[in-house]
Order: sequence, then C-alpha cells, then structure tokens
Amino acid sequence: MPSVCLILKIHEPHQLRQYSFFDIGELATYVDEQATLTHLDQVECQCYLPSTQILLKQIEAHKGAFRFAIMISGVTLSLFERFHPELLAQFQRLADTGCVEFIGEPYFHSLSFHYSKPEFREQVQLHRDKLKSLFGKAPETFHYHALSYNNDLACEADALGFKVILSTGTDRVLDGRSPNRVYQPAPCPNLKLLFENPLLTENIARFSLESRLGTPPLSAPQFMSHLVQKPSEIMILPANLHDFHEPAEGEPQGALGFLKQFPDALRAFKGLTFNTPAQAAQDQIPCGSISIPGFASMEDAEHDARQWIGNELQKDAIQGLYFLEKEVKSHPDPAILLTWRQLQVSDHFLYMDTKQLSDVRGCAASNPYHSPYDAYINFMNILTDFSERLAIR
Amino acid sequence: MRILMFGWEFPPHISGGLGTACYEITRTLAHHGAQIDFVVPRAEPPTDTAHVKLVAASKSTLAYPPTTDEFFERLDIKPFDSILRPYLNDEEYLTILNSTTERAVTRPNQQSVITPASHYGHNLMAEVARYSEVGEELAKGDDFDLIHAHDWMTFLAAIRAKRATGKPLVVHVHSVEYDRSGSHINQNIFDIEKLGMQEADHVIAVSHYTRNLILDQYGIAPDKVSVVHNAVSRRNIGPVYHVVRPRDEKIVLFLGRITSQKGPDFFVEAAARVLEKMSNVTFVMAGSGDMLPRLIERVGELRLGRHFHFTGFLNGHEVERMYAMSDLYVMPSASEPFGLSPLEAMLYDVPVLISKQAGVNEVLPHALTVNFWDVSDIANKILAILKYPVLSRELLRNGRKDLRKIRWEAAAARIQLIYNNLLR
Repeated sequence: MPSVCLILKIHEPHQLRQYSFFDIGELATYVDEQATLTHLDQVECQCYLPSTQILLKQIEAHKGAFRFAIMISGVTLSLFERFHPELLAQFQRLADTGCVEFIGEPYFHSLSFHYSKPEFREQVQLHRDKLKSLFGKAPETFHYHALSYNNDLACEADALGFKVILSTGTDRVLDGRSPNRVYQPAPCPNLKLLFENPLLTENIARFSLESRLGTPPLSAPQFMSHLVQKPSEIMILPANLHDFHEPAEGEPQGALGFLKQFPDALRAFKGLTFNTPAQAAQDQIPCGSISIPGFASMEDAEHDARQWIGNELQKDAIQGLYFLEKEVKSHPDPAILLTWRQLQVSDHFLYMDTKQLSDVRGCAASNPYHSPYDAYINFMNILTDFSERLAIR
Repeated sequence: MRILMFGWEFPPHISGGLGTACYEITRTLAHHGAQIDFVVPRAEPPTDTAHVKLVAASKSTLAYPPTTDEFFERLDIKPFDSILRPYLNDEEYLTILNSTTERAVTRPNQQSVITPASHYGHNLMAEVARYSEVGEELAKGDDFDLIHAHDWMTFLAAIRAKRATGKPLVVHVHSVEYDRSGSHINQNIFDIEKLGMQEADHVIAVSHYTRNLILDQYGIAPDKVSVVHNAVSRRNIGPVYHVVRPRDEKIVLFLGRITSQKGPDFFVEAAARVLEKMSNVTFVMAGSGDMLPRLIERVGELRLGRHFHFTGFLNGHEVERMYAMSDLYVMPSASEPFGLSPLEAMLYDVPVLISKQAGVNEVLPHALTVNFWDVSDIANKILAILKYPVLSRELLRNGRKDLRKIRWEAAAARIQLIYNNLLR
C-alpha cells in the first residue's frame, strides 16, 4: 500500500552577536543570547506550540493511523531544553505516542562531512545520544545537510548503524528514476535509500506566497488532488514545521489549517497510508541499487550545498574554522570545543550567500544581517578572536 | 528632436558628478539622434564635445545681446568665468565675486576675457535671477521642442524659457537642498527647487532616495517623478597605472568635496579608530571644501599627521592615479542623491565602502555599506577590507557584474522615453 511520509523539519540556530573588529581580544562570548531567545519566544508562540498541539490531537484522533517523522537539530534541542522546557515536553509527548520517528543528523546542523569525517562521526553520535536520552529511542533514519547525498555518506551512515538514508530528489541523482520508490545504495546492501518528493514544500511555498496576495491558502484536499495524480510506492514529503504558523492579523487561516485537515484528507483516499520513513522502507524491497560517487560540483546549479559553501567568502570562513580542529581538540578547556562546534552551524554560512542579493530576497526569515558581506565580516572577526584565544592557552 | 538644455560644466573642467552626468547624458542622447543646445554658465574650449552646441550663456547677457547666429559661431569663444558654479553657496559666491573684482581691477588689459565684476549679481540669488533672464532671451531666439534643466540654479532660467515658449519642461534633480545642507536649509533655494518641480511637466530624480525626498519634502505628485539612475562609462579609463609604493602599506581614500554633506569628519574619526589596530595605513583625503582646515586641525590634534595625506583638489589624471593606488574607497556621505565616484573607483578595481544614505546603493546590491554616523562600524569595515583579502576579491568580482548593468545608454533611453511621452 503506498505510504506517505510527512517529515517535519525543525532547526532554530542561536544567533551570533554583532562582533566588531574592536571586540577582538576583548570579548569571548560569541552568541547573542538575547536575540536568540527573542526569536525563540516568537516562533514558539506563533508556530511550535500551536502546531505540535494540532499534531498531538490528530494522532489521538486517528488512533495510530497518522504517523510522521521529525528532523530536529541537536542545537535546537539543547536550546529548547534550556529555555523552553514546555516545548521540549510537547516533542516528548509526540515521541510517546509511538507514531513519530526522529531522524538522525550531525548535532550542530553542520557541514562537517564535507570538512572532517571524525568530527562528522562525533556529531552524529552526539545527536543520536541526545535523541535517545530525550525520546527513548535511537534514530534509524539518517539525513545529512539539506539532504545532500553520495556513496561515501551512505557508507558512513551504514557504519554508524543507520538503516535508512534520505537524499534530495534532484535530476542529477535520480537520472530519470522515480523518486517515489525504495532503493539500495550501491556500496551498502543493508541500507535503504529514499528520495524526497518536493511536492509539499513547493506547494506550501506557492500557497503562502499567494495567501499574501489575498487568495486562500493551501487546503489539504487541494494538495491531495495534486498528490494522487501520481500515486506511487512511497512519498517522502519534507516540510519546515516553521511554515505551519499562526496567520498574521487579517490573514485567512493559514498553513495551520492545512495541518488540521491533512490527515482526514489523506485518509479519504483509500489505499493511501501515513507512515514513517523507517517503517515504510522496511516494508519494501528495494527496486534497484543506485551509485552516486560524489556530490555535485560547486559549479552545478543543483549542488546541494552551494547556497552554504558555494562562494569564496563562505569557503574562506568555513575552511578557516575547520583548519583549527586539531588545536581545538587538543585544548584542555571543553568550552573551546563547544564554541568551535557552535560556529559550525550551517546558518552562519548561509547568511554569507551573495546570490540572495541578485535574486529576490529569498534568505532565511531569521537572517540577522543586512548583507552577506556583513555576515562574513562578523564571522571572520569572531574567528580571528577565537584563533587568538586558542593560541594563548 | 531638439532640446534646450540648461546644464553645468563640460570636460575638461569637471569638478563633480553633476558635470560628468551632464556630459554623459548629452553624449548618449545625441547618439540617439537628439540635437542639443547646451547652455552652460561657464564655457571652456570644447574638447570632444561635437555632439552639442556649446553656448556660453555668460556671453549672452542682456548688455551684449548677440544674434542667434553669432551664438553658434561662438562655439570656440574663449571662455570667461561666469561665477555661477555647481554646488555654490552664498558665502562661496561672494568669495568668488570678490576675487573676480580684484582681478578685473588689477588686470584691466584682459577685459575682453574677464567681465567686470559689477556685471554680476551682488549675491548668489541675484546672479541666479540674472541668469534666468539669459534663459528667456535664449529661448525666444531658438527653435526647439523641449527644455531640460539640471539642478536648481538653472531652474529659474528654464521656467522663464518655458513661459516664453510654452514648450514642455523637464527638470533633472541631481541633488536637493536637504542633501547639501541637512537641516539648515536655505529657504530661497528650497523655494526655487520646489517651483521648478511644480512648473515642470516631468521631474527626473537620480535615485529612489532622491525621489522620496522630492515626494515627501516638496510634495510633488508621484506620477510626475521618474527615477533615472546615473551610470558610469568605461570609455574614460586612462592608462593602467603601475604604482610603486611600499609593500604592506595600505591606502584608504576619501575623494570628494570636503563639506559636511560628504561626511569627511566621519572618515577622519574612523581612521583614528583603524589606526588603533593597524599602523601601516595611510588615509588620503582628496578634494577641497569649507571643512578642510578644521579637519587638518583635527588630524593634528589626534597626532595622526603622518598617517594622513591631504592632496587638495585633483584633476582628471591625478584622480585616476589616486584610484589606482588605493586599497579601499570610502564615501561616508550624510546624504548622497546618487554618488558617481564609487562606480569610478570600482572601475579601477578598488573596493568601496559607502554610506547607506547614498542613492548609488540602489544600483550596487553588492556594495559594502555603513550608516555614515557609525564611526566604529566604518572602522570595523575598513579593517575587515584590509585584513580579510577574500572580502575585497568577492566585492570586486560581484561588483563588476553590477557595473556591467549600469550604462549611460540605458539612462539616455529612459530620458528619451520621458521626452517622447511629453511630446506625444
């Protein structure tokens, strides 16, 4: 029976403070706790509390038939733990229903696989431990940054004990194959490979744009009619939980309404079921194996990480950061390691994307910088201070 | 199409962006087939200006009314200083008037070249009013389709030309009184600007920044005001300079009038902050203006003389050489309707740091920007440019793409469109 796997992504990074060149050598804290908390308060009220409430109710109402997965970064979990325990409790309630799968990733939402395999492994392990301690179960499904994928990554995930891995469904990796089937990564016979189906993400983006123009937002029955046009084995539908937020004043009931309707709308179509990625993959025999030797090249428009590490500013900053790994890891102060890892959060590099200046302003809503150049300067000032502190001991 | 244009300055004697803009606009319009009668208060021997008729307005004073034909023959007339110049204020006007008087007295043999000072208005406003009569006289004697005037000193002349002939008037606003004087505006100038915009059939603003000022402060109807951004021409790039200078010595450049509008004081204060962190930097201030003595004094007070270089006013080649030598160009203007110079600096592969209060930002999405009053952020960003070489490289690489889109031909095409709509 065809499975629909809804994947809800949650990532709320801490923000770096405005760090001037004159702060170098003077100021050893890099995180702007105030700004981070203000942002968290806002998204908690507008989005995470109401949406998790709806999810809990829907799970209850559908008695186990509404199942989905959650991707939540380790940094987000630790922020919730420290500052919003009530929110963390909501996610724990979701976990307790047994209908929600939590997906593994590097703890700091980093691009560490690109720059340091040992660091990558440690962060995946940290995240696994965190999920286990908070939700009682180790993850079985893995995803790396922005669903980037290649053979080596599959081998790493396999070695780290995962059973399923997720990938983008770009033309380059699919090469004409259907994204809606279960595959096996060529080098890892025990692992199953699933591709995202961008339909939901695209629809939400389109409808939220239209709702700003006054037309009614995405309704679940409308969406289902798109979805069932091409029914298939398995449909991985990732979406940012962030997008399901309270409507702004005067707006019609927004994406939150969608979340309420979706389970009913889907179950109205006989033969479709909700499932989690791990369960859905387990139920299916792979239809073939896929070999993807490398990530797309940086020049490729489809490059999975180009928005994060595609330009010289981003490369300079991130290479400068990983260059310090050896020194950081031999440093006696554990706070140094934590700081270094906080600087790896990929959002810092996304803010340096200069393409956003040429396109319509399409960057993250929480971007605190006026321009990508400002983001780079701020990061480099911090990195300079950090290297100097590292050298002192 | 024949245009009667009231403009400013022509090469080789250009002291600011207004002259360059007038020159490039007439050049590209002429290229599109327009015929332009260019009225300029100060005419110099023409070079590379065959596309317009240079009319020495100061020769057409009512005291010496020439015939129209004589005008055109006087294309190569020896220029003499008409004392109206762009960016002039009352005080500067009087200084020039007085020095002209002295010259007229001390060098009586050259009276064919130098007009007796008594001829000029006793103050700036009087001179502007006198110039407006010239505008009317000129307009009567000539056949043209449209009047186009650049900035307030020409507005009265253009209005009189319009009233005398009934031809449509376009006023082109390169800056407004608010830009030049901040909150201490000169009411007479403001009134002339407002009148010009009100009487105009269409207003051209050099940026959205300026357009907003025109709508908010002058109350002009929005549908009458269009934005035509200035541009930059690669044509004028001189030879590539191979400048020999000490290694590891960085040069940060301020180039422009040293007046409060341009924010030179913020440059000096930011430089002092930079020098706290880095000693191998020289700050060059090129240009002259009423704030220069005060700033030189301030630099002395800070004991930073050996890190500063005041060049005074630079001519074309010196400017090019200065750009070529620099590691960074800073424009901390308090109010800048457009600001051509960052585009010029970029042509010499010099990264730029510009005030957020500058219209040029609208065409340079990839520029590094600051609030002009934020001295520590200016210093922070100067240091970033000097310390993180990747930043300069990326700014320049992306800036070059921006520059390719900023062409005078595009500006002229938009102006031509505005003309066509008015004449339809």
